[in-house]
Amino acid sequence: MNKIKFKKIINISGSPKIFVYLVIWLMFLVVIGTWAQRDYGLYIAQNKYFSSWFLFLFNLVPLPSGRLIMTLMTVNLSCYFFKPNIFKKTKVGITIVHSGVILLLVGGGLTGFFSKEGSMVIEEGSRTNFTENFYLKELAVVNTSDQFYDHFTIYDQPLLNINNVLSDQFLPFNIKVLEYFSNSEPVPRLYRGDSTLKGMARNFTLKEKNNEIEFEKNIPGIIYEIYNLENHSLGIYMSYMGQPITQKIKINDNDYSIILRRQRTYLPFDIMLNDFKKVMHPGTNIAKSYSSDILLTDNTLSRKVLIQMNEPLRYKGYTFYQASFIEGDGVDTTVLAVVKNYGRLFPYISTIIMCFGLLLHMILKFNFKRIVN
Amino acid sequence: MKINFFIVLAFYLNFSFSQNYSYKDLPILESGRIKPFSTFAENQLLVLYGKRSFKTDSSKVEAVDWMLDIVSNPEKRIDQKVFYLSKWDNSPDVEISLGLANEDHYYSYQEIFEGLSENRDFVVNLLNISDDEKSIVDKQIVNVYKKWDLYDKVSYGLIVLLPLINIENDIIKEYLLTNKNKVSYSYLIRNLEKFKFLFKQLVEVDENDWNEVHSKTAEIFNEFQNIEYIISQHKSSFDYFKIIPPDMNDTDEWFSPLNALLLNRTDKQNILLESYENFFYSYVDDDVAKINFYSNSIIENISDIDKDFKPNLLIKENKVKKIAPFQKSMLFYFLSIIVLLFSWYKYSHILRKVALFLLLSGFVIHGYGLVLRMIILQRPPVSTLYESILFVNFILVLFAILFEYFRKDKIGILIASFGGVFLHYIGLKYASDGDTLGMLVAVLNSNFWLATHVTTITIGYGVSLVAGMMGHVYMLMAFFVKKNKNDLNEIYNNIYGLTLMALFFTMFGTILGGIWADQSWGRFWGWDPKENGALLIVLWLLMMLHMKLSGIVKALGFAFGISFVNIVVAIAWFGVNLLSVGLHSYGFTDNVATNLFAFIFFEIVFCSTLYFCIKKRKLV
Repeated sequence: MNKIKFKKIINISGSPKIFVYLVIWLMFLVVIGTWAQRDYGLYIAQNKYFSSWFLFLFNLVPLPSGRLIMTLMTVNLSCYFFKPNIFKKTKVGITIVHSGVILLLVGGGLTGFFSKEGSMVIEEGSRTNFTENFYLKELAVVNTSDQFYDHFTIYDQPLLNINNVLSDQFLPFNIKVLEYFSNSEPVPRLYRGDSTLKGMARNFTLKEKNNEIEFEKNIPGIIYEIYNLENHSLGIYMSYMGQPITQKIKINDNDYSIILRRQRTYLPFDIMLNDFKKVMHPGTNIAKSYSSDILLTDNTLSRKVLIQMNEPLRYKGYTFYQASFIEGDGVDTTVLAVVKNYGRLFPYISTIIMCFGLLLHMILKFNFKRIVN
Repeated sequence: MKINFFIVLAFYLNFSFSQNYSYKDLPILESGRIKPFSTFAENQLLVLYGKRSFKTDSSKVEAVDWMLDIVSNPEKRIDQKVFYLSKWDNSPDVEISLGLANEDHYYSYQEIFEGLSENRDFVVNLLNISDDEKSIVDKQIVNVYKKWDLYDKVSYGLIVLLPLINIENDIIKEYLLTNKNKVSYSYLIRNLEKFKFLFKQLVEVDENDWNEVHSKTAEIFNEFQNIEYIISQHKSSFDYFKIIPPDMNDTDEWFSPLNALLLNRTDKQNILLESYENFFYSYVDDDVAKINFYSNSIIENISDIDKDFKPNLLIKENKVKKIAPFQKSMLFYFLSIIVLLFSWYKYSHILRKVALFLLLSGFVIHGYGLVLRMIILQRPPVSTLYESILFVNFILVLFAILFEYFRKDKIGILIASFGGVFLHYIGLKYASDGDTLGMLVAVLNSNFWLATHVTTITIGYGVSLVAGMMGHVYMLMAFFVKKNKNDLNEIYNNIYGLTLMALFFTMFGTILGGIWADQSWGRFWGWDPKENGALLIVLWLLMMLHMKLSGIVKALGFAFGISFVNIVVAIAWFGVNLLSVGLHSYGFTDNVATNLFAFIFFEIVFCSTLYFCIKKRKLV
């Protein structure tokens, strides 16, 4: 009885009809998601239509989004393998192809959930050992009073919500978030007499702006109030990314800097840029190639590496790609994209499997008799 | 007989491989590539005049002749009506605001100059604001200014090489070691020490005591200064003709003659400059034999300086232009359609062979053109939109011919010739935008990935198009030809096979693209518009296959659905460039959008009508 029930479930949930409907919906998502990139940029369109479970029509009606559709496809496809007769001569090729597709989807899932992306910006002659997230930000509080070391307290982006109170056992004060803007610009205040405003906030305020099409170009900003542990307000401050003068406060004879910056991830090794080179097609502004000549130092051992277009550095699970550059006065800055991706090998393997499967299927299905005749 | 023909054809195409260079082959660096002077001239004329050849009152002049004419007679430029403000590219407001009112929209340098200078403040302001702040008309006016500036550059660019300075005095000629009556600015600069010496003598003698040599020297000095004055007035113009290669290893940047004169020249570069001076002397003199002689010596001198210089590529490029392989192949495909149409009327068997023969001839020329392009550019023929059109077309015809080989019922010929003409036509439209042999940005500059990913995906496009066209054929046959079920069934099977094959190429092309992306910028898939476009084709094909599998569609429905793959391919191929976002977008024109929508609309109406008519009359 159970066996029959199981068979029935497999037959229904593994039906190609379901796949057809899923694929139609996915095509719809792809079209809409591509169109949306024109107005909202890649990052937001991708988050909304592809890497989320649901998208909300008019912010109300939930519709399945890319991640859900692809998960359902994976389930639908998995059922295929419980069907009878899948290793028959007419079907074995197709079975192989489908197993390749499963691998591809699983790899995509692994990448979607676990991969880490960031960028590393290094000036010629300087050294860096962290990557910066393209999109997420963090609020760093640095105690600079000790002459031997700085003490960092980091609040991640999810904490930076309006009315959230940030506290830490090592800090003698709490931070209450009054405003957080994902894109903003500082504008001068008209009335400057409010004594609760401190630091840059005394003369300036932050104006919220719409997101840029290229999300990386946003300048996020935060307005916050600081309370001491007795819950007395010590003033309202503001910080934004790339602030020219860091916001500093002095509490209990300790100096603190408060910095809003891209979320950092520290690596177990560091990289120094010796030289950045750019070669142009002669007589044009079209770059022919860029390359970064770097020194990779792990513990005390160093080695020279050349990273260039189409030739990344792979080290300890991280991959460093030549992504961009900033030209300076004599000193150039390279921008490396850094990726840690656990699903990296899946597409490679699944391509080979699918290729083999499709060829096998075509060969087994091909009617040689007809050609001979 | 067939084989003989192809040998003759190959001979015809390969003939003329003699190493005799003409002035059309002289190399010049533009947009990162060393190209023949003829191509350079065409590019400039296209910008100004909108065509590749210039029409005077009496005759049609090739771009290269037009340009040499202008370059060697800078006075001529004032009245020549070379500025074309086409009504396609320009709103009527452009001409109104510049006060231009010629009915044929052709203007001379002088007319444009007057129009611009009457609106001087307005134009200067336009040049200083950013593109975002300009309206469309503003941008078009800036374009007119740019054209005018370009013409200025072209007409003055080589003035230093022209024999403009009269030295008709035997003593001076002997002293300057020349037997010519006129020399160029460049000549005097190269012999500056001697010239200085003459001048010194002139200064030391009182003006009243001047002899013939002295007064001639003063004249020469005057003319020399005139040219210096022109140079100082048109500073930016003199960097335009980059015809002198560097004689050192650390740069690829070529120099204009003036820049070469101002820098430290090597002996080899001096010799090259001399050849150029002689070339223009002969050109002004209209001495054809000498023009050819000096063209050859210029090429020789350059090969001497730059060891990597490949002059035979220049000849090949001019040959491609002369043969115009894609126009010829389009003609053959077109003839093939006509013959094919007749064959349905009469002499079916023989005319089929004739049509096939024409098709194959067109195909061979098509392939030959692609090979020549590959040799000239030294990369696979698939890296720009224009190239992809040529290549997809080639694949389409190839598969359709294979199809004909197996089926022998003219359907293959129909698809090949029809698709061939259609895609060649689109290709010609793209070619009229300018130089089709452009350079690539860094990330695309990888022959390995161009050869694997891009080739696979474009083959996928080609096969998908064949499958789509077969869908049309199925419906057309079901509607017009009341044949037995067997024929239709066979076509249905063919469509199914083609769909699998299309899936094979598009899917692996797409995944290979992901792998390339993983290799170059660190993510396998980024939902970039071009990636999504390719994915859309794959999904469409998958949908059709699974619809068939689950019984949602039967033969007719399958043919109907697969017909629409043409639309999906068109969107993935051309449509995503219209979004102009993402890493892949490489071309944009408004006309493309209109034509694309027209194509989609036509396909939907055509296929749907057919489908519903067949359904209603229960023809299948």
